[in-house]
Amino acid sequence: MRDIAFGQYYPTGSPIHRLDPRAKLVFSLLYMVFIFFAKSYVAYLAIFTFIVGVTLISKVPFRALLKSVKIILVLLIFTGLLNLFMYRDGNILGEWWIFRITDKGVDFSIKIMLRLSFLIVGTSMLTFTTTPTEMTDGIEWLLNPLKYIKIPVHDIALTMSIALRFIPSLMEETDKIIMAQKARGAAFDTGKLHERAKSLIPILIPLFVSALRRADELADALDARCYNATPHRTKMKKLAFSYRDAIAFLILASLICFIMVDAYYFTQFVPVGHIASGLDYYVFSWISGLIA
Amino acid sequence: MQGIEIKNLTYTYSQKTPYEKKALDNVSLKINEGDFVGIIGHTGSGKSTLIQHINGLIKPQSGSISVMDINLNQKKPKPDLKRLRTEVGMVFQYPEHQLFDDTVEKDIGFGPKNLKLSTEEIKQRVQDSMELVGLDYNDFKDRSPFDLSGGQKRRVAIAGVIAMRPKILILDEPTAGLDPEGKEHILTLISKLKNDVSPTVIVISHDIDEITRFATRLIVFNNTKIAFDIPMAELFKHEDELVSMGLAVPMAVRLANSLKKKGIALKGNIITPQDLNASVEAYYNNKFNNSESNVLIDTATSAEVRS
Repeated sequence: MRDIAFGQYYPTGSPIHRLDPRAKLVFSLLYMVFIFFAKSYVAYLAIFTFIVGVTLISKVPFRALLKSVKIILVLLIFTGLLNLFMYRDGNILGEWWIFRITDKGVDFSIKIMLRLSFLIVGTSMLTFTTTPTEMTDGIEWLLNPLKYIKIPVHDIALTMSIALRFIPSLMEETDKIIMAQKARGAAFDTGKLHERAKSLIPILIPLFVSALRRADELADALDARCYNATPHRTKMKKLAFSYRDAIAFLILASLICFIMVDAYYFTQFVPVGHIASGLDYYVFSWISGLIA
Repeated sequence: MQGIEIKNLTYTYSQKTPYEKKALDNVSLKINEGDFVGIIGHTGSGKSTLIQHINGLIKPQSGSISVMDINLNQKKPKPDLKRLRTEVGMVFQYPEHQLFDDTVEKDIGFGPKNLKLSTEEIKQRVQDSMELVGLDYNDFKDRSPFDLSGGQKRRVAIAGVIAMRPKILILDEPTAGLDPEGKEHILTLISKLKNDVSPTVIVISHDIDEITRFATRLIVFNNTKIAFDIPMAELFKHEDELVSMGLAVPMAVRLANSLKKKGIALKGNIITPQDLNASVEAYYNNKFNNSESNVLIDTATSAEVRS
């Protein structure tokens, strides 16, 4: 329980940690969108270099990032295999029953697995380097325009930050309850499926009771301090963009330009029917030239 | 050995992450059958981590631990945790937070049921345990544990643990958050449990005055290590150490030691208010050595104790 690393803030105080959370949120969104534009392996290599660079600057150990990839490993393999066997187009390499492996299928399934891994690594990088409070502050700012159509943005942000704040507390509570019930001889990992499901009751009920108790207490505490009595709340820590955010933006923008130029400019020159796309074609030709 | 033997136990939480935190540092300890141990120390000094080891809830990282002849370091075959948990009963902090069933009877019966005992045996144990903690069986058995008062809930939770009939009973802050009356109930109950159910009792507490009332051995934790481990009767020698660790000194010890500095040396090992009372009385009797002043002394004694 205690060792769940996915999405947990990893304090190192690096320049990445000190980026403005609003900027980081926008950058992550851009990153996630433009990953899907990448066509060639050269572009994937560029993304890989980018993320390795970010990781090195952030001082978050690669081990932590690999852990987050490990969480989606099953999904990754499943998607990869599905694409590998079900892709119809391209030159057939092998066929059995309803399965068919084609050269394009191989190409596509490798790319989709890379894409998913980059996606999860990028988003974990956001959560590794941004505290939940910063994150909600950033989200609140980004959602600000919605205020004009009477959406209670601040309340939504507060609810979110409370939810995030309580994840570790409830996890700790779960840990304690599991220990207490184990101490009374409860077994959670043996028996038939319905027995195992039933063995969760002694954990879930106390957990819900305590979550409701905490929620009640917190609501009272908010009331007692006249929360929401004033229309315009001010912030103790104001967010401010700095030169760092500009530099980070320039770096990300060059990555995006590279991906787009590769996908839309260089792809034009690839002969129709050739499997390579974008700059891959040039690399391919160059290597064939070397061999010949 | 019919007790607990711990050698060079070290434990670190969240190893190899920035949240890494040492909880126990090279702790060695032997608790014999029949010991009545009080453990004090600040939050985070390692007390809770230690007792979780005793119940096999955390695996030892380095060092060895054996409880009632069950070697917890053993890899193959794995230590018999089921037997361990019937031998060692553990009452966690705020045990009432772990209540879950719809009636008091079922909740207390959860442990015995996990032991796969017969229905009659379970019922018998529930009845006995409720009687021990002072809850009337017929009155309470069908009530929801969530409708009880704080003190009653805690007694139900304790009954749930002692229904396992543990030989070693461990209680973590058993009186935290209770009113004075509830505290009194629990403290009396602990002494009773030591006599009737579990020969070995370990109690963790913040309140040293509370511990001096029943424990015969005191273990003080400071900063992941055992600072000292003494028979309770020698506590008065360690006032300065306790103070330097920022821990409270029992009221009677404080008073006796400051009287000593003023030149009034009381005799005997003064730990509890009762000891103090007796010593002061002896001191006055000795000094004036006549029976007429006895009345005067009695008032003087109780005035001293109260202050």
